[in-house]
Amino acid sequence: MRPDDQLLRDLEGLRAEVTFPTTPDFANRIADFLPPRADQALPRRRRVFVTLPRPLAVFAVVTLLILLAMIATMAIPPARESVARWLHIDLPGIRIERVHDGGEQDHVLPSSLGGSLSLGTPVSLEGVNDLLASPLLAPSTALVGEPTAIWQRNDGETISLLYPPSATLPEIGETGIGMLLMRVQPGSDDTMLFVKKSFGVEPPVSVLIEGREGWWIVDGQLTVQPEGMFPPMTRASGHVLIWWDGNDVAWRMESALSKEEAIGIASSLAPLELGAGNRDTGPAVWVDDDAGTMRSLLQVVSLAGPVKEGSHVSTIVYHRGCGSARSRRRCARHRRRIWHRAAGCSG
Amino acid sequence: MSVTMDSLPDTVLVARAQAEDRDAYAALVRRYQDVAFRTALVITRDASDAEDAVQTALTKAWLHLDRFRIDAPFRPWLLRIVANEAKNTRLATHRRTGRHVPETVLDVVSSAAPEPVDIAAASETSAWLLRHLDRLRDDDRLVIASRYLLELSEEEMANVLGCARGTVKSRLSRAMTRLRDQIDMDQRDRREVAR
Repeated sequence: MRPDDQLLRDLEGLRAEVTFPTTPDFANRIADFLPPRADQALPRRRRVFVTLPRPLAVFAVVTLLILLAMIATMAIPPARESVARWLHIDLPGIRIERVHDGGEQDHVLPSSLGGSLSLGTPVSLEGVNDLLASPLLAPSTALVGEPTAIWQRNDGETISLLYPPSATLPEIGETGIGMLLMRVQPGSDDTMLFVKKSFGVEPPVSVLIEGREGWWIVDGQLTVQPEGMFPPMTRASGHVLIWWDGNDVAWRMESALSKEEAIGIASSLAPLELGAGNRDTGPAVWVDDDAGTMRSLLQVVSLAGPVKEGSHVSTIVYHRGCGSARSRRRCARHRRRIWHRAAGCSG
Repeated sequence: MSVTMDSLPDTVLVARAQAEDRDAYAALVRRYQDVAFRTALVITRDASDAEDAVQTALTKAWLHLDRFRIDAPFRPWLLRIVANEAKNTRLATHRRTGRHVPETVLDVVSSAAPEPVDIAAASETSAWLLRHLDRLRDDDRLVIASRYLLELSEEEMANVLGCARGTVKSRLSRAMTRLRDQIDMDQRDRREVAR
């Protein structure tokens, strides 16, 4: 057995005994590689790639040049943020595509986020943390409050957190939702779970979130790729911040916030801790096929009311037609199912 | 230029660099290029990839410097960008070539020495430790290397590891436990072979 203090001494002596390769003289070479900041040319990025056959690539380059010329003639301010100059970017599980530029989009936030959201199945925070190798991260609750509900899809490949509107999270259009945060970790490198299409007058903007590269997209639509028996789903989206943690996780934050506000919230990620009310029950919501809008989800939650201690919500079904919600609850102690709106365990 | 510029504190250099003063940025780069390159090297484990990663990271830092808070420490911010770019580079290399972890830490550091054999002879313990580090999983190796090879501060380690500052100690502790377990197991195996 090697004494611990001996191991520590050996480790502390390590630095003095190893020789790193000579550092290239970056300082004297920066004139060669630093772009002028006003131009905001994107640095070389290995993960940005256009995988097209050669004829298509030539066509794409020509199209891109035309698009850039169109942008120039539209007198866009020259000192604007760095913009995307690519056809698509692949992040873990998410592809960002530019569909066209200069269209009729006018940045109006959607009044609805579409039908079924394909968020998967409801799960408690404990359930999420069991799926992940490390605790689920989320923005500081001091900034955005606690999520109303958490879903997971495909064994945790996608974790979605829903936040209600608040003083710091303005409602996205008239959807009844303040923010949707998605953590995307595909099972394999080539799996694309989402395609984010960007179109409109504002191209995606390159941003840094705590040193991690991301993209700010003010309009567009989201396509959830088909999975098993579920068909693909496409819906309009609010303002979106997408970033990559540098390993194998991508994040997608949808909100009505400004870019700076969104970056501030994205920068506050830390292990999520829920208050006592949410921790025991876990925010669990099931949405039927016919009522998958975000507004509906929030109505479901508010209609269900608080969950009595000792029980947890297993299923809530919301009926859009009549506006009523029914919850099916299972008492943790008595294992008895109770069909009653907002009912607690009667023992 | 250099003598005057190099003596200025980071805050002044950052303020000047934010105003597009390339000499000020060069002075900042000169100050931190060693630790930046070594950090990238520990992650990519390939000198050429590390150089690419640092150059890209320096470009990104320059482009985004206008959003850097002047009262924040520059070095941790830069190291975070470098570490992320190094991880990107490592992943891209792996995807492009199928090459995974091309060299060991021991290869990287000993090949840099003028006489690798002398180093091995002079620091058998270090070579032994590096071999054990190489057998750890990536996360554990990075946290131990950040502390003992790169000698980073806690804040810098959090940036390089991509975790909250409060979890650095626990991650280091877990990595150290696994290193000890591995060493113990290795020594038990050796004793049994010798018997």
